Formats: sequence, C-alpha cells, structure tokens
Amino acid sequence: MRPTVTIYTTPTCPHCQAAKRYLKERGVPFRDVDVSRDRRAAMEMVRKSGQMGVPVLDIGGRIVIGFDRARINGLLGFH
Amino acid sequence: MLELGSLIESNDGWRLPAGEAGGNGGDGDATHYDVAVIGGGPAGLSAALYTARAGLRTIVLDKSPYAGALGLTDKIENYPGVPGPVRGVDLLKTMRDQALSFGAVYIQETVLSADGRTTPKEIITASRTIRAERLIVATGSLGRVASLPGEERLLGRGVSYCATCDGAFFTGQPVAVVGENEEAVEEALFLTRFARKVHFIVKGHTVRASAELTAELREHPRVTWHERTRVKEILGDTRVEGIRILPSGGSEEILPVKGVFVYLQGNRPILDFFQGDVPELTPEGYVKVNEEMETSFPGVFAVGDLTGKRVRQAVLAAADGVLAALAVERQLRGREKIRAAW
Repeated sequence: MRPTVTIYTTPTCPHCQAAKRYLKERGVPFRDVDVSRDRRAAMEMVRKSGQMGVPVLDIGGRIVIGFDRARINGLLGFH
Repeated sequence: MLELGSLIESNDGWRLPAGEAGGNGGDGDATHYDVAVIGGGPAGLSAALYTARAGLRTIVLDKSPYAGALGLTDKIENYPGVPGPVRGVDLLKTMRDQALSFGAVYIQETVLSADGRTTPKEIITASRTIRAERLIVATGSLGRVASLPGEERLLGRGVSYCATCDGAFFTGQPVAVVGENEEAVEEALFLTRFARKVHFIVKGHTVRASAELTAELREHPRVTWHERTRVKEILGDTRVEGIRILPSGGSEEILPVKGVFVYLQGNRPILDFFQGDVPELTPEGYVKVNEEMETSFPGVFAVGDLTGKRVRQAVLAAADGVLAALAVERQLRGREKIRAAW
C-alpha cells in the first residue's frame, strides 16, 4: 500500500507547483496544505521539518524538504 | 554552399520514436521535443539555432536573458561578425531571434528538475513538464555555494532562495534581499506583498534588470535601497535575527530583519536542477564532456562555461553549442558520423 502523502505549499511557489504536478502525473493522491492561509498547518510544518521553507512533503511520516525527485521516488517506490 | 537544409531533405523519413508522439498523458501539461536546451546564453542559443535549422523540434528554457555571463556584459566589441560595441543582452536578442526564426521555441522559465539518466529526458519547470530525446545543458558558471557567514547555518531558518515560496512566512516582518540581478528585483517586489519592510542590498550602485522593474522597486514605499553595500554576516542563533552590512565609506550597521533572501552569483557551474544526480565532473568541478560535448549521461550534452574552459568567451561557448547540436542531430537521425555541414 502506498504511504499517505501530504504536501505543504504556498500558492506562488514554483517548486510546490512542480512537486504537485510531479505527483499528479504519477497518479499519487496527496493532501495539499496551503501554509500561507493556515497558520496552524504552517506551525505543524515547521515542527515536522525544522525549517520555514516550502515545499515540504510528508510521505508516510518521512519528511522531504524541497522538491527532491530522488527522495520522493525512493519513498514512493518509483525508479 | 552545402547547408544543413540538405540534411533535412535526405532524412525525410525521420520520425520520433514510436509511441512517443502521443505521450502527453492526455492532460496537456507535458510536451515532447527532440531537443531541450537549458540556458539561453551563446552556447544554448547556438545549439538551438543549429538543431532548429536541422528540423529538430527544439525548446530553449532560459531563466532570464539578464542572468548569464554574456547577459551581464555591457560592451562587446569582439564577437566576430557583430561590429560593436553592443550590449550583451542585445547580442543575445540577435542570437535568440535567429534561433526562433528557424522554429526554436523559447520560454523564459527556470528549470527546477531535470532527469539526465532516462530517455526521453524529463525537464520540469513550475508550469510544465517537458520530455525531450536529447538535453543540451548550457547554464553557465555563475552559480554559487552558500558563502555569506551564517547563510548555510540559517538556511530554512530565515534564509531562503525563493521569495515566491517562502515570502508568506514573513508576513508583517522586515526582510532583506541580497543581489543585483533580475531575479533579486522581482523577488524583492514580490516580498513587498507580505513584508513590512524590504531592505534591498546591492554591492554596486545598480541592478541588472529592466529600467521599469528597477524603478518600481526603488520607488516602492516599503523598500529601502542600500547600494554599494556589502553583507558581512547573517545573524541569528536558531532563526535569523538580523543582517550586518557595511556601506561603502560608512560604518557597519545591523538591520533587524527576520528573513534574508539571497540571489548572488558565483563562479561555479549551475547544475542544481540535476538535484544531486549530476554527470561526471572534472577534478576542477566542471562538467566532463567528450569531443562532441556529450556528458557521462548518454544523450545529455554540456556546452559553454559549464565545461570549464581556460578562457570564457562567447564565441567559444557558441562553438560548443554547434558541436553539441551536430552530435544531437547525428544521434537522432541514426548516422554514425557527423556530416560535414557548412
């Protein structure tokens, strides 16, 4: 079973748009959290990732900072 | 005079590999090209000129016409065939127009990710995914590593390279932008939507961006312009708390900012879009290529300043682009040798 994917983003962030499209193109469902509108989610993201930059992906509890294709592929079992 | 056009005639039957023509996944956000060129400097545009003229579907992805080594050169008098003095951006426009006249597509977008190992090569920007049979990388050597004191330590803790990503974290706060290129100006303007105050810190007295954009920034009520000013240190323990600057002829001062956005140039090859999976490098850290400019990733070519030439000249970069283009054309059309084309 595929891990649950949450992606923390802001609407204007190029890397966020790229990361979301990357997941969509591979048929990966994800929850998109806009941290610019949701302060609690922003705090949650900072707590999980230890930093204040987006995108942050939570893939089954594993945190990926930035649009890091290789790590995303690894955690989702893509090659 | 034998021109490349005669090669096209002799290859009328050439097509994209089977199964690729409809490979857009039906959602319209992927586009397939024969050749993708990353970088719109002399190397990339010369490559595009040749591949487009050879009838290969060619796309050039360029971060900014102002971003590269030629784009920031004010006066060129020694580019053969172009009597100067001419501004770098104007020479680039001539090159771009020439490539476009043969059907190359030019898009001003930053490449965020490129997978050099697979074929087709997958190239990702914020707004599109492009697949190309061959990839020519011409991004130059104005890249940098984190070098300001405090920068690396506080990255993600107030230091950012992407205001459009992280600006919202600084709503109502004072921030600083360090840089002198078009990207720095655009990102500083973007930050005015969120930040209470934007300190724009320039080493010289001007920026390399359009006059309109520069004026908009300078006149913005929430922007303070610090020219001829050096950054000494980004301050903070676990979060950015300030930035120590030194204005020319003045004394050091500390600006109490919560965020620092850095857009500086260096002299390292720009390969970040490979996301760590880069082709083989030379001991000096440049991209290793064979005599056809192909890297250790089959189908990925590197041209221009990326290859670490002893002298960095636009005409040499342009020549690199041509070598790569001819090799790409040969590979895609299945010939063993480059056909003499002049």
